[in-house]
Amino acid sequence: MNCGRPGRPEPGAAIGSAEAIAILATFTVLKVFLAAPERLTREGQTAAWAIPLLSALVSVLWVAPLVSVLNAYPGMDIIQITAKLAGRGFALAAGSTYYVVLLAILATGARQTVSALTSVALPNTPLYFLLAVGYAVIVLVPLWGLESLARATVIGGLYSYSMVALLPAVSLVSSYFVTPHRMDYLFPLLGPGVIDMAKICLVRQSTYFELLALGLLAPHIRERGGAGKVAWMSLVLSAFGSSLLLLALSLVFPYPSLARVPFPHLRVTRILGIGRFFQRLDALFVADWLTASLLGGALGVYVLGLTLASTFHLHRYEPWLFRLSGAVVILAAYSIPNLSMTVIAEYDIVRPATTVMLDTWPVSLFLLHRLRKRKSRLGSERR
Amino acid sequence: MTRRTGILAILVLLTCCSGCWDRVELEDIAWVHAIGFDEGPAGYLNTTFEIVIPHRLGMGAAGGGGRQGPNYLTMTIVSRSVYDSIDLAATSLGRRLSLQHTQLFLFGESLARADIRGLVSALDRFREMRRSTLIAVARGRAEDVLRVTTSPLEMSPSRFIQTVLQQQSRTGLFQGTRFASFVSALEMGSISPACPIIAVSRKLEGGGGSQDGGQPAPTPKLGERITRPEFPPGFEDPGWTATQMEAGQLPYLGGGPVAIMGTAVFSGGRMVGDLNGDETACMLMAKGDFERGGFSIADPQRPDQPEYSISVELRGRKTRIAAVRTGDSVQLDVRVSLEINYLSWRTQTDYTDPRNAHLIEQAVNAHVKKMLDRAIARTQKMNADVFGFGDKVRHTFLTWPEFDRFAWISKYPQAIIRTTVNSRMTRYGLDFAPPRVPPGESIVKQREGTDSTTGE
Repeated sequence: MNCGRPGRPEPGAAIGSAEAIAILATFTVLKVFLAAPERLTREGQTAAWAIPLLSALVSVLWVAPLVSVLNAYPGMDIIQITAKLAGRGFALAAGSTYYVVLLAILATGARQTVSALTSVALPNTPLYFLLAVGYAVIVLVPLWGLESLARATVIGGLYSYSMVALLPAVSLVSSYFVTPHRMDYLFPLLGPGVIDMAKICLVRQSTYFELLALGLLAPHIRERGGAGKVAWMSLVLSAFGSSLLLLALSLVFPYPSLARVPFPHLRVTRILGIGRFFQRLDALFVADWLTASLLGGALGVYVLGLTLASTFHLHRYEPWLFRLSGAVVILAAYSIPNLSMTVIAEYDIVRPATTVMLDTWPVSLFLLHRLRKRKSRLGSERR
Repeated sequence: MTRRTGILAILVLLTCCSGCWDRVELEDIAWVHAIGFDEGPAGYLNTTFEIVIPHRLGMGAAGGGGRQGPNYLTMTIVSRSVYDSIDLAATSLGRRLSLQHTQLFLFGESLARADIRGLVSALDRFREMRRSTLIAVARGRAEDVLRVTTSPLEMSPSRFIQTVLQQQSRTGLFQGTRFASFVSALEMGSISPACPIIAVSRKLEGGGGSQDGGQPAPTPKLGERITRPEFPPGFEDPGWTATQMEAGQLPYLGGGPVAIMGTAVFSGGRMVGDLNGDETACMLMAKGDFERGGFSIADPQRPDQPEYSISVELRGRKTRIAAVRTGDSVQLDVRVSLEINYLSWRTQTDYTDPRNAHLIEQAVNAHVKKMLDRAIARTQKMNADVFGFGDKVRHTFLTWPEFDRFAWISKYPQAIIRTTVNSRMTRYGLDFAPPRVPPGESIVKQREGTDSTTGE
């Protein structure tokens, strides 16, 4: 299956732009089902719904150089490009850092998923059992390869994304029947204030950290130069999806309540007015939330495998999937004592730290690429 | 690869085994339909659970099918917290109590006046809690309300809660408050919490009334009368109607033993006062939540004669609230729009005549404005903005920290609030004019000393 040259796992695997968009958008947007809304609301207060949109604008500053570099070096992933432009040492450092950060984010995400499940639906089921089941799924799907993973994501991602859009729609429509929703909850419009919002959006560009996976998936996109389309579409979809869902949640929970509810998405689905006509409407959303979480875990482990293979020039990434998934599960189960610490670890420590990486890595590569191009042009002119 | 896949597939199938830990049989659960909270002895909490008896639900309505008693039981437990009570109740009933179908949280008045913020936040945290549960205050003790058969028409107390809630949109005499909105109001700072008042009929509470096996009889005994002393002072005023009372004070005999009417007003977590039925309707009008409700107003041409009062059904239309803030002072302009459905009259004046319609409109405007102003003034004295004017004041701020520093609730008593009521008579029922009184006949005198109305 994996007999290509070193540093290029799964050489034959190719996916279309739509599949790549589904992968990246699902991977990025799934956090709105977990504790992200609570954390963003705590910071953005009544203007929390604007954070995903404004952060997406800030993210353009590193997504654009990333796309440019990937298009300039077709067939190479971001780690290989780093090795080419900055040397193997930098590639090793960058790849290792990305690997560690992604592992931490996956572990915190897994812990949030399991905590939500135990606190909402299965209070007596041990945490380790649910993690073990999650482990089975997040190993199995990437083991089948990128193409299967992409197909699963297109189906699951479409379902999840349509639910992301459906909740605001249902909320707004059903508000005419039962009214737990109030437009007044969106005031004052500027939340904590303009300056604070600017600072928040600068830090919360890390919400789109998952889009950096494009750097590893780009060589597998079938269309030449398709990285740009995939990046922009994924950014727009995840920004609007997250913002729309946060908006719906902000209409149901006033800011002080939303800022202390860890899984507001699940709680809102239980009080939808239209749920009076359709019994257990919330079950639809739970399936959606589980699908998105498991897909996110599978995608994360797959990207981890690619990162490891590319960074350390491994021929095969599959044997590592078991170990990587195990690492995610063990970290999720034993390194974090509770949900509160999980959220703090992800949103106060790991993600803000990734801002440095996002704002330097693609931009540095872009500048090095320009410099190299200029040098070669000057060299050819001299000759 | 196939072997691995098989093992993994088995692992996935293990998901079904989560039932090993979380499996609960329906027969092992006691479904709680309502919970009452009262002050207990020495700082303890009295928790009353109203639990449905499932096998009695299929036995038919009261009096038929050999029914042997109410299809629910109530159990009161003294403990430190509601969760202790749940465990303790399970040791007596032999079933685990489930709150998943709980429809009502009822707080005894003395407990509500002490502070229920802590209790409400404890309930909010519980996994089985549904934020759509109704919340109410019991005039007197919550345990008393839960011990009587709530309505002779309904099979179960929860059914009564569902049907009585529908009466908000038809009467406007109470505000159906969901747990979610109560909690939101507790922490918003722009609106004060409020919920309906439920009470056992005053006659039963005092030990009187018909009793049938410990439960009130839905049909009064022959010869039982509503006597004048049951009306509150001032009832002879032409502007007074029974909707200006609260639950428990209503003068009625028979029917259900409990009634829901009026609003318990909270400042923070403490109940600080109440609004009567009409004031509650006006509060709903100001909030834009009033759908329709009946009002009785004095006949504009005979304002001193209550026997000629006119019945109208008012329907809520758009309410506009404009807030202007200058420094610490706030001015609010509240414009309530209503539609009048003219129901009945007892004089020969034809108010459906466009030349006279304005008389009814003016009378309705004046009546509603008077009640609305009175409700606002009373809540200002209570320091509790149950109208949610603070939501509009919040619009005048750009940032939340500014609004937080302003501390609206402390400014509410000083706020200048102007009200305007505009009503339009749009419906007249099935008749245009009153039935004709032939020449030579006259309408019978309503009481001694009043003039008769002639058909001229």
